[in-house]
Amino acid sequence: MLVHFLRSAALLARMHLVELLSSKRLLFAVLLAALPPVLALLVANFAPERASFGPGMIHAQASLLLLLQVVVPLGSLLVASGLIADEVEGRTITYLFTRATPRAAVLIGRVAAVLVLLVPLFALSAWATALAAAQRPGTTYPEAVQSMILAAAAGALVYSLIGAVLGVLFRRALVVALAYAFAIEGFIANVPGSTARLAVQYWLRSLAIDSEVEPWSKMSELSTMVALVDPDVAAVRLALIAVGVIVFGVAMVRRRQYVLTS
Amino acid sequence: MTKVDASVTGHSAESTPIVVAESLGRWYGEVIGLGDLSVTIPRGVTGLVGPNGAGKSTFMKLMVGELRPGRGTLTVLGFAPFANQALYRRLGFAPQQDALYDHMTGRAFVRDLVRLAGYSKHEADDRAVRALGRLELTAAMDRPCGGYSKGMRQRVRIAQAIAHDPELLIADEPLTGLDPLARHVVIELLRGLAREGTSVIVSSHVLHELEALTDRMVLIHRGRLLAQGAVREVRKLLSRHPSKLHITAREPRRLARALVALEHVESVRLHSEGLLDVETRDLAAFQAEFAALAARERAGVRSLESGDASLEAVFDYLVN
Repeated sequence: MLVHFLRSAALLARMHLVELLSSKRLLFAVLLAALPPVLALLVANFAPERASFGPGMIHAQASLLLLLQVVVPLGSLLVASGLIADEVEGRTITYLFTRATPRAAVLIGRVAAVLVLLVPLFALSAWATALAAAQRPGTTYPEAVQSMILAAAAGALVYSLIGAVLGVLFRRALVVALAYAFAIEGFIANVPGSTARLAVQYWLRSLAIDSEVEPWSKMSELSTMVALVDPDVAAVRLALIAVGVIVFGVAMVRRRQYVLTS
Repeated sequence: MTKVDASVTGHSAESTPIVVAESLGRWYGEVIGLGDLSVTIPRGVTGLVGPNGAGKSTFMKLMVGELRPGRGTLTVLGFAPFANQALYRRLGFAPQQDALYDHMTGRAFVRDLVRLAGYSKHEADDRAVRALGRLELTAAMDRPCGGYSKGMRQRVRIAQAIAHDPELLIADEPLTGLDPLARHVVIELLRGLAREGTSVIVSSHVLHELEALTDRMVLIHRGRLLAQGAVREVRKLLSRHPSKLHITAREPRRLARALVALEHVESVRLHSEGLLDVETRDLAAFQAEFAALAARERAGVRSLESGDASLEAVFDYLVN
């Protein structure tokens, strides 16, 4: 039973991977992922030499404000919201849901395909952003790069799962995903006070920002205006969110009926 | 567990119904997909007939577990169908919608779907090749589905439904949009499956299409069972209501003159751009005679279409 589940999920992951590699959604995510390093590279090379910020600040700004807050949520939600919704829209879901394969394997397999692509993509983007920031003449490699890479990878994981579940629940999942990205992750995450904890973004920032290290300490004061938690606590919380979201998604996909238009 | 002798009880696997629906209903919001359908379908080949919007596709989607009943009960091969993996091992479904994974080859498409049923890659490939071969798609099976014609796509949909040798094949309008050659291939395939012992439920809104396949029909209209039985009984009803045909020809006047002379033709109407509307009391006789007549008159027939109007007439007749 478990072997059949895993085999089916692996096959579905492979099938979806091939499909994704030629999809416009992935291309858009790749372009998004290229933004932070390109921007960091431009600033590092072309900002006036008298400007007071070093590579640390360039990296912090590009990765925290652009990569973590915009690129990772948008890119992940964009790609993952199509996992099931595109099958419904394309009316091919029938082939998958009338097989002797658990519906959960369909979701898990396809999510795995997205994660195989997006987690390295955004981690790579975080690393390249740091590398680009380090191009600032006469300065050293920025601090806390690893924690940002970890946060980008975790963000790709959690947002992809949320996107996939939105795709299970809504026919027009992309619209809902964009609304979620802007309303919850873009707005609530920046509201002062404990409300920010409702957003995944809050936990990702906690994972990325080491308040002991410059320039993160400055950034945390400027951009979040809420006390961030310890990275270990944030990691556990993100893991719980991920598990909760996927369990909910599996429960929903097993029950959901999809009315296909002829 | 007590074993019951089938010869004593009179019940055998052959006589066990494959589909049992009782007071089955399904709505799409305010719209009724299926009203109150009670029907028992035995093994063998059964035609599911009804005009467009009668509820055939909804019934099929309920049978394959794509949808859940809004009310009533439904069992297929003894299982409640919704998301039932045990049923899907024994069931094949060829949907109506023209949707495939266009980036995949026909072979990979069928093979991967067969693998999802638990077969090894090698066996799944063998089965895919065999199924595509039965539908005369061997030459095209290594090309991407995106480049297939409508008829080829239709046949791929059927191939994926039969590749795992299901006990029951459910095919939603499998003959729609096929050219005569492809139609012949599909009809022969379905006949072959029936000979091999596979039960087939096949839908159409054109009664005549199903006559080539089976004598047993289930007629649905407005989400309800209208009639069930031998096709000849339905045809008797049809003969009281002329069948309508639409013909376009290069020489419509010459063709119209010849058609009027046929004993079973009731009326011929001539429209602009070579279009003719013909009413006949005997569709089978018309079809038997038309090709020779058109050739003799050199009418240059461009198209011949049988709408579902004739079937609508029977349904209206039965309802009223």
